[in-house]
Amino acid sequence: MSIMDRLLNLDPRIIFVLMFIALAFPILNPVILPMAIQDYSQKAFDFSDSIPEGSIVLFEGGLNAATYPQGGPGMVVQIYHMLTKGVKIVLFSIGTEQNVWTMTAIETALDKLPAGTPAENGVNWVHLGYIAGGEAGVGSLVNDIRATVSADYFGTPIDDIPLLEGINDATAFSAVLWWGGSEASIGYGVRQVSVPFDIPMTGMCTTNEVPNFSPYISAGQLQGLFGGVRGSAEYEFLLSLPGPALGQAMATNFGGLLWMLLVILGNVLYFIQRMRGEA
Amino acid sequence: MSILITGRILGLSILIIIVAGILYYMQRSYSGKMPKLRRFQAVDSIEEIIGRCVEMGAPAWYLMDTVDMTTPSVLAPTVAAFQILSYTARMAARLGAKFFVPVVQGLAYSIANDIVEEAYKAEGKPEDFDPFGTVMYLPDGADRMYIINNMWSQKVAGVFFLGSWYHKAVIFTENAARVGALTLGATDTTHNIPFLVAICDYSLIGEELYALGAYVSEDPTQTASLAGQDIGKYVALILILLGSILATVGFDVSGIFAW
Amino acid sequence: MSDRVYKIQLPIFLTALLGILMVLEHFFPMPDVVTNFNITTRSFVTIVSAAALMLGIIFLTIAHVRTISQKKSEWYYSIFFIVSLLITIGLGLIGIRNESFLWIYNNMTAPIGAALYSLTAFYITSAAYRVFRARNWSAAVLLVCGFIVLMMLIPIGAIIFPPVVPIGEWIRSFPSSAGFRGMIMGTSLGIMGLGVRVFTGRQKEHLGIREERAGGE
Repeated sequence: MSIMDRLLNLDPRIIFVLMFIALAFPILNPVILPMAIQDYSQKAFDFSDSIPEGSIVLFEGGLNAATYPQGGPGMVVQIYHMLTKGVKIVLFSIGTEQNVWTMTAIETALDKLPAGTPAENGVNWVHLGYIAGGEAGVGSLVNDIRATVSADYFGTPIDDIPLLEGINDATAFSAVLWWGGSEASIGYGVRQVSVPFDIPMTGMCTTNEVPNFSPYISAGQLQGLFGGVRGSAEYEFLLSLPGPALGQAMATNFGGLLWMLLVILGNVLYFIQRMRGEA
Repeated sequence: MSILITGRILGLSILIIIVAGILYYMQRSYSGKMPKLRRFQAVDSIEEIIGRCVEMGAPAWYLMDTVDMTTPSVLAPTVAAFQILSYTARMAARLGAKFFVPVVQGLAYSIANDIVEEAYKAEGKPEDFDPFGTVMYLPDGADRMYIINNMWSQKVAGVFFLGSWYHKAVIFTENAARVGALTLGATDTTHNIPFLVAICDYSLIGEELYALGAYVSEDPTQTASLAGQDIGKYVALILILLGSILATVGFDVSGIFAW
Repeated sequence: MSDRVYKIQLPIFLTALLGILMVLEHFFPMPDVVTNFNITTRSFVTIVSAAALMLGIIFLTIAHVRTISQKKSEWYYSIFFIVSLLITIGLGLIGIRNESFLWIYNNMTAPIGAALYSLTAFYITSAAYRVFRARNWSAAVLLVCGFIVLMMLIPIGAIIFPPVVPIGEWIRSFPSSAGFRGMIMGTSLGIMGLGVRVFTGRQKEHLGIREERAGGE
């Protein structure tokens, strides 16, 4: 086998090792490089920042163990952002595992809050827990909260929660924040909440799902979107709250550059082989 | 109290038109009037893959990835995958291929188990079905390493990737390609379709997964329903053209969605 | 009740009835009794799913016990599986907010899940190196667009070559979105067709039934 053939049929383990080095090095030795903010993230940030004080927002937490590393830091920042602005949050999840991770994000955000920030459970925020039924469950929740859920994540009856006094459907919400992770559930929020109740919406999804939801952004149904770890890093950067996502996003620089290098190498070798008549 | 929920008239109208179209073509098929449909290359590829596995004495795997049947967006492609599983399992039983179906959810596992067992019984080969080995429940998360390792150790010759595929699509398809397996991929999760198309030897895009399910059922009525779906495409084309023209001349089309 | 009724007709009837009720709830204001019934039914899905999970675990455990008793290859891993299963179930039964149970979840299950998710990066790179070749014009266009969009997405890409940002955003917002819209529409139509076939009882394969049919029956 010639060197050309060996390179064209490179053992995947070599590629894996190179990628590991490219990703691990900047995480272990943080390298902060300049970063441009994407327009989707800027739009999402501007929208979140424009939510008036005293509003109530509906927040879906859809991150699980696999997607929390990329979306968790951003979700923490979003909760922090809302509470520091005096915006009240009603959270829920449409997955059982996601339900637990949403609580983790809330606790992390509460730990980061400046002293004196109003952040009382039941008053400034409430986690309604797991809502069964996927999209149908979301539709049921936003049309009749008390028929869908009887108690919050901690078991407190809905009628005993001050934040939900007089609120039984989505008409009370000023915005929808949908941190859907890899659930591909942003469409649920658009179809069941944002469009029927005419409530503006933004959120987060994993990087590979962003093209899936770009039609919604073009149509104005989503006010921007935070995409993957870069979206979380951009949110941390825009709110001046550096966190784990920023370091991870720097790692994607090296991973992405290695990816491009390998693809260019593969194509160069392929064309050489073709010119020689071997391909 | 209004008869219809505000903002749903357009959706209901389109739903009625499309469902009526599907039912119309299904009804016509009862009297033998079949619509002309193009041949699906994927149907031949199923036989080709199973045949290759039999020749090489290597197993054929049928993977469905996410089968969380409590999630509506996953339920539909999973049901379509079950339909194709029925056909594929029967072919595997008939030709004598070693067949393996790992499933990561309990509900889907019990359904897949029934489907494959019935397929083997229908082909008169119940002894070839291993109740603990042919269809296997793998906890979600643990399935990745099991499938990657066993694809190599068993040198699988053919793999089907059908259903609702998420991030595991690229992991398993690339691994199968490296092992040298012949692969067929189909999913309706739009952001993973490019991976299956790029890596698999044969692939289907989006709705073709559902169409393949109807096709392999060998039921003319189900196949005829595919023509009804095309009515929906004509409706979509008309609405897109109309909406583009109206939006271009300055008409606010968003008001229609408030009906 | 005959086999045919409870294996075929009853499941099809229930599927159609409950499915149509869910669809009607989306379009028409329904009486409270129907809404409450639908909410309860959706909860049943989760409960049935959990029960089926038990079935899967039982079968998996039997498979591993068989591996141990027959001393099949790498049978010692099966012991590890059974011991882990028993410990986790035991702690979970004590309480799902039990400290030890949460420790296992937060320090073992979650990091392993995240690590396995990260395999995607490695396999995408391996696949791209092998498959992403400009074999013809369409592949070349795909390659160039992929490069531009990737450059736009990595934080430093816009700094290295600023024009990728407007070009990449145009690609993402227009041709890519148009393609995805088309696929979403097609998929939605496919789902509608599947729904009609299931509700009318024509499609029974998901029940494990595959009937031999004459044409147009």
